[in-house]
Amino acid sequence: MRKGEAEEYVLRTEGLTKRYGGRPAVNGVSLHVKKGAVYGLIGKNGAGKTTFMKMVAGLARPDGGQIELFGSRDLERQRVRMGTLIEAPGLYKGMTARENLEVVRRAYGITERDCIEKMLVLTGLEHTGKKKAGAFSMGMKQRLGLAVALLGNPDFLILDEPINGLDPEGIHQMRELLLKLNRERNVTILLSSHILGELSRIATAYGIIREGELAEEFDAKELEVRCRRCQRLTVDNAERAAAVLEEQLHIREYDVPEASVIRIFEHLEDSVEINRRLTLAGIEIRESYLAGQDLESYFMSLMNEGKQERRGEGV
Amino acid sequence: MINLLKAELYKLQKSRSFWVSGGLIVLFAVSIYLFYVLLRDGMINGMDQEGAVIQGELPALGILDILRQIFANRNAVIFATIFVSLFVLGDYRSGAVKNFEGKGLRREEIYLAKFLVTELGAVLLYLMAALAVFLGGIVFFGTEQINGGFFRSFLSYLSLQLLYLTGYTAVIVLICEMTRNTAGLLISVLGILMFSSVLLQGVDLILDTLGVSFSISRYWVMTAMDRCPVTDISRQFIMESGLVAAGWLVVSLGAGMVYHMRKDIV
Repeated sequence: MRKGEAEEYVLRTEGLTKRYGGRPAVNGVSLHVKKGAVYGLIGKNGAGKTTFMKMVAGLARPDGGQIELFGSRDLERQRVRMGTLIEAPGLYKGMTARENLEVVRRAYGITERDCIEKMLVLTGLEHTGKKKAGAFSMGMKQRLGLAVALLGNPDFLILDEPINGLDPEGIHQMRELLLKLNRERNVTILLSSHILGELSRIATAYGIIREGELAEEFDAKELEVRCRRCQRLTVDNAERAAAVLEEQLHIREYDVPEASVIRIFEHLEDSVEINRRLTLAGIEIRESYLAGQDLESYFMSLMNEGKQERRGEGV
Repeated sequence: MINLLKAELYKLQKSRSFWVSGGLIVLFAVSIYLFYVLLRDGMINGMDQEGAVIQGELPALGILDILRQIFANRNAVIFATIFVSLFVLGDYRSGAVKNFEGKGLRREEIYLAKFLVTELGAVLLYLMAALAVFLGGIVFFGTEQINGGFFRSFLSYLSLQLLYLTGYTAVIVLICEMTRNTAGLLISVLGILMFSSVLLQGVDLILDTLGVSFSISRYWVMTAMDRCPVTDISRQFIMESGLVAAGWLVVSLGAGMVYHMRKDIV
């Protein structure tokens, strides 16, 4: 990989593996998070998401593979640029929000004392006063955990289930905050969530992890295409079929993802007519169906079965 | 490293377990004086359950005797153990250790900073106890015993107990590091506090029966705590027990650091 390409990625892993008791929890994961991305890591419970994040954060030692952060393998040095919130937020329950942040500020050697106040305002915890973290609601703890992760202005955030336990308003605030960080400060974010619909509202790239293995990586545009309703045709000659679509039916919204596959995104109500015209033009249609589903169903199918065809109703 | 020390010192300052243990240790020292005075006065003026006047009196105790009572009979060390266990385990129970490790701070420095500040906290607890014994002595026994010889004995004994404490604390920090959970820690620490010396003396007996003239218990830091005389401490005892304490300190620190560097944070 050229130097420029390496710098384009905030995180790259190659064959990252972790075993517990001989059983792989993460198995040969090669994942790529581009600079400025909001990368959604999706998988069932026990799929290996948290273990993967822990290895990247330096909390767990990999048994194999490599990690590259900001184009460098000097991980200790690069991790200074990271902020993490993995599993439950690490808070001292007997301390206030300010005191919790003060511990971290001192440990990181941050000299600006007002950074704590800024972080409290940013996460909406400025009015917590002398209330101990142990008495915080789940949502407040999550926000304080995020505030801890954000101290030191990290370029890369790793967030494991950051909206766990948040009410709808809390989820909304967290989403807005993450989007703000991403857009205004160009913070790259790797996050996992079980709330897939929510994830799809902020993620620009996705990785599907299943039984410790990375099943697939794709970006948001690709996801949109995959979930978009379309007529999917398997034909003997996609090129000729495309010409017929354009010349006879004036269809412009289509693509050819494989040599023999064509996806049509308009005139879905005319699928029978489309099939008839193609057949009359001498094109052999081997398969034709309406495809596409909502994001949640699509993610579920990926998590359960992997890269499978998304079949809708037959035409 | 300096930053980590600053953070740990801040945590110590805010640590409830430190202040509660400190308060209890002072209270305990004062209560020993109170019990002694009440018992002594009761024996002089009191009666037994059947109404007969009690004959005899308690042996006269001095401040140095109370000091020994606090440090040699596993009293102060219990409070120190409670503080050390809660202070070290707190980082694992809360998950706060992840905040440091996930930021690329060096693992050995994280452990060392925690270790040093925990040692400092334990030493401060002992100093609080010693101060309470000293001031309590003045209040309850007066100033008659306080002279040059008293200070020499008081400070020598305290210094040696502090030395043993650092070795003992290193062992407890190591156990906290290796168990990382309350149940495992409780079992291990209670086992050490209550049974370690007895078990080692048992081993001494077995060895003696087998004709082996070697005492294992001599090399256990708590034995030194128990056996340390409050006056007339021999140079040989100081050397030997000092080496034992230093040995436990170095071995436990090294083992804990290596373990911390290798073990995943789960």
